[in-house]
Amino acid sequence: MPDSVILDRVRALVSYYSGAAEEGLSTDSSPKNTAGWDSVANLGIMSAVEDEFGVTVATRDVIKLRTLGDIAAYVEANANPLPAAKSASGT
Amino acid sequence: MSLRRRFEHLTEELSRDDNSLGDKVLRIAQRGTVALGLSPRVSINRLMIVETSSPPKPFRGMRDVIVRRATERDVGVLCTIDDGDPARIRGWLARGDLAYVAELDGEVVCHTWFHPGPTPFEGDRAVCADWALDAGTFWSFKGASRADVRESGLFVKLFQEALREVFEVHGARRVQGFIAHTNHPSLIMHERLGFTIPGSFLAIGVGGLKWIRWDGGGRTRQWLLPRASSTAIPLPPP
Repeated sequence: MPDSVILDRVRALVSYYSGAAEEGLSTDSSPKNTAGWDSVANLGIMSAVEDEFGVTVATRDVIKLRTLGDIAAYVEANANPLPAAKSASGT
Repeated sequence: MSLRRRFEHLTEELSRDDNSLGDKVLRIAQRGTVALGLSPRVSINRLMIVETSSPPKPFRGMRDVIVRRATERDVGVLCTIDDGDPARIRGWLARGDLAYVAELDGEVVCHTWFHPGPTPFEGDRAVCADWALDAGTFWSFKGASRADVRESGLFVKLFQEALREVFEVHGARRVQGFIAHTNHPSLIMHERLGFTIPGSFLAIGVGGLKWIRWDGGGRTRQWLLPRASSTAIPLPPP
């Protein structure tokens, strides 16, 4: 399960670009089951993830990231530790 | 397009809540004429016209994707993406249609095409009629992605960069195209890239005749034309 701070921030990005309500988004949310999360939104989400977390998401990886949980897990594995995440975990 | 892919398309279209019952019935009738072997003697098409007069904003993501003009050397791989006809694709390239491809790790995975006006685009003759384009208008007539990259946004990246080049390098003042009325993903993509929908065509062909109805700009127009001819005979408004 991805870090909850990362998950919340990814959820906010997905909500912003898809127009879906944040409270309706879960780790299983994907373009297949989320209205508004189309290919244009997906491109926006991936660009925003790069800006927000300082990661570069290779296009090969974009194709594999199918759910909100996948994106959050990718960020957790590839981003430098986030100030907010550090604070939340008490480290 | 494979039979399986056609079936998946139809299933997806029929399951969508944003397609009205009328849309679904029309789509079933349209697919049915093909499945029953009645096409092209009988054909039914409802098409939404899309157009834009300005290039879309650039996206920052997918910087490792290379977008470039297609050449004769790409014909083979383009045909593998969507069961294309090599002779037809070579003909498009030879007459100056603009084709762009997206390359990922050295592999061509998507392509998109534009036909420059004012010469009429004959490729949709089976659906509607030939019609002259204004000089400076480009007809967006084809786009396809390899199955494994669909829905990723990669085609959007290609289409967006290609559109920018069509406007900025090739002097387009307007880009138009049409999309099946039930293809909501494509309609949404176009709208989000700045296209508007000025109207729609309904084209019904039976035997040697075709009837075309245009709804847009607050008015309805209709024509009758022989299939073998591109000359449409205007009919009084309904």
